[in-house]
Amino acid sequence: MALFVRTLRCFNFPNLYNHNLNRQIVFLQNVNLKFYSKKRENQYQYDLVVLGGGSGGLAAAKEASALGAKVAVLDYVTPTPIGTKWGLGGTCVNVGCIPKKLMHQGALLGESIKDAASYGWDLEPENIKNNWASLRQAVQNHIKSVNWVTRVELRDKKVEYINGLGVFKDPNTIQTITKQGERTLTAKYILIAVGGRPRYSDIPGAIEYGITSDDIFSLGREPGKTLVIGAGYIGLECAGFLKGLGFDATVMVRSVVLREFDQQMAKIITESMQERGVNFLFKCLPSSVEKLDNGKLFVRWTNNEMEQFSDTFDTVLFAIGRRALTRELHLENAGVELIGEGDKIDVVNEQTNVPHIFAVGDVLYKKPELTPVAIHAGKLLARRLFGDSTMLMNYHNVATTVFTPMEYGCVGLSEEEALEQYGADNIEVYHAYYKPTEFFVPQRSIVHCYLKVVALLEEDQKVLGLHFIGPHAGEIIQGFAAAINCNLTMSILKNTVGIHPTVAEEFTRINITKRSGKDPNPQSCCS
Amino acid sequence: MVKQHQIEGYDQFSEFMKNFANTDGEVYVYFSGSKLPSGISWCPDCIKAKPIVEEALKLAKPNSHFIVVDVGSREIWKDRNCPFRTDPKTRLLVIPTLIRWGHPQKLEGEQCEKPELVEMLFTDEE
Ligand SMILES: Cc1cc2nc3c(=O)[nH]c(=O)nc-3n(C[C@H](O)[C@H](O)[C@H](O)COP(=O)(O)OP(=O)(O)OC[C@H]3O[C@@H](n4cnc5c(N)ncnc54)[C@H](O)[C@@H]3O)c2cc1C
Repeated sequence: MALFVRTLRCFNFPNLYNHNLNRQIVFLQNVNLKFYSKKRENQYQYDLVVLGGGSGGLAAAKEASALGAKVAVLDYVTPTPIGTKWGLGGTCVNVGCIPKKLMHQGALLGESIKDAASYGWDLEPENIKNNWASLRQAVQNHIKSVNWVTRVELRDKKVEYINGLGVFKDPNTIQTITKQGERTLTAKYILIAVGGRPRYSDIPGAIEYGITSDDIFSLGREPGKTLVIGAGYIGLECAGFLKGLGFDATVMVRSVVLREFDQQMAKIITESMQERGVNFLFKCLPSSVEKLDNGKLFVRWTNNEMEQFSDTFDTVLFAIGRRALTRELHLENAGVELIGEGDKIDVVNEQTNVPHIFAVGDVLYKKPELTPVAIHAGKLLARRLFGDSTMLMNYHNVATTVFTPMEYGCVGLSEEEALEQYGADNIEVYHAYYKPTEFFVPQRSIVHCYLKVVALLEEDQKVLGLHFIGPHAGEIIQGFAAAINCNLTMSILKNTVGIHPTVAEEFTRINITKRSGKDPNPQSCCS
Repeated sequence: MVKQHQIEGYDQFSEFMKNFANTDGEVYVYFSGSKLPSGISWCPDCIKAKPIVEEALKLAKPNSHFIVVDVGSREIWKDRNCPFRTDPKTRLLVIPTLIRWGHPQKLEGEQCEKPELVEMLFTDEE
């Protein structure tokens, strides 16, 4: 007990030196742990308690359990303001990547049906219509089966699943309330993997009448004419699939589109969405949402010149950013510190300022908020804690894709980042517009099919970043991410023989530099 | 008491499900290999799973239905075009398969031999 009090006091007065020292000590201990199961300590009920059964938490829990640790995972979904809730598995499975990709695919199929007529299929594409209720049902059925498979997996891997909201009682104790009553769990290590939830604008009517990505994929009515507030990737993706499914879609942009991405690419994505009929309201801020007698939503907004506008919509979707669910955890009882506006947790190798408390996934400060990042960090952490691994998570060169109707995939540095880090004199940017073979027959617009490679100017021209806009961008960029991690250079890229006819081969053909000022448009002939 | 039904082959199965209007209670369907003349199934995994499933079934709500479907002989099942494999309602990949009918809860193959998983299927509330 005396020891316990002393530790607590130390948590209350953390200083940098202590903090780093503690981290090192834990690290060294872990290196010496060969087979964790043989060294179980009985002081605590669990070796590891995980807060949050999403991408990161589940990956860590399963891995830890496989290495012999006794593990419990708490997962609880607080319903949205309109009452949407979901099962085990976290954001990605229930209200993120998975339903988003399925609806994106639904929208792309609509385009393909239109193309199909040009390819000889006897159809009447003018009369095709998407049935929202059927699509939603199909998507939700898939999610429900993933929820079930996840529960089976946990049970099979001997991870205890507790459907309750966890809070810290003290640095080693988690409290929760389940249907069966209150529970207190003590653990040697605790992993915070509670992810985040969408924020709403601070304007009248936002919470009462607005929805977010948490609601859209299970919405019980057709979304209809939709205003998406926010132009990050989630806002653009939602507007993109809604438009593709046949709904009127408008994106309200506060300052810039896709702030965290290469801005030239962001501009092309914006234009390609505009070409498809998505409306954009630039430099505008919403001021209120009211519900009219006919059930429609009346939205007022102002632009940066303080001009006022209004329109009615069936749905207003806020996609203005996400907040980590850390405030709810009573972190003060454990001494874990938060940083920055989004209530994030700063970590060194997933370790928080409290040495036995770790964090992975969307709660992390300045780390990519992506499912595979959370999963990989969670797995590696479990191996370091309970196996004999010392492998650390590498958060660099993580590829990602924006699933707008015309997809945008990238890995590595944006052009802006490269210029800032290395200076314009040391950077060479290769770029090209290209024509996907399959676009010719249906005469699809090719004006936004563009790619670029950001490289160092000197010697072999090490590749720093790859950017691709076009069909299947996600599928294409993944392999190049591996290449970048193997120190891809321009000379290797140019000496790689392409697969013809594909869109991915454009990376191997790229040869025009921005510096040359030559026209990056393809020759009129078709290869 | 859980009401038990025994079905033999695809035709009987599709006919039975068509007319099976179960108003309340969950419906569990257990697909396994038909019995040989000796009285035991030709499918060794089904034999292993059977006692586990029967034991866990005791945990199901009393108004549930338990439908045992023998998919046929080894030859019938091994045929890639076996209707149990191709029917979108069943789409079986392996036997045994245990399904809570109309719900995502489903266990396949070796999973049906694990009491903790089979119990979860019969008691799951989500
Ligand atoms: C619309 C949308 C689309 C996305 N698309 C992609 C994509 O295409 N590709 C990609 O890689 N990523 C995508 N993401 C991001 C991805 O979903 C997240 O990066 C990932 O889910 C983060 O995992 P996590 O483990 O940090 O948290 P989460 O998966 O969010 O899981 C956290 C879980 O913890 C629960 N929880 C919270 N607090 C508590 C508590 N106190 N006690 C118990 N449980 C708690 C939450 O309810 C949740 O179930 C998308 C996100 C959104 C919103």
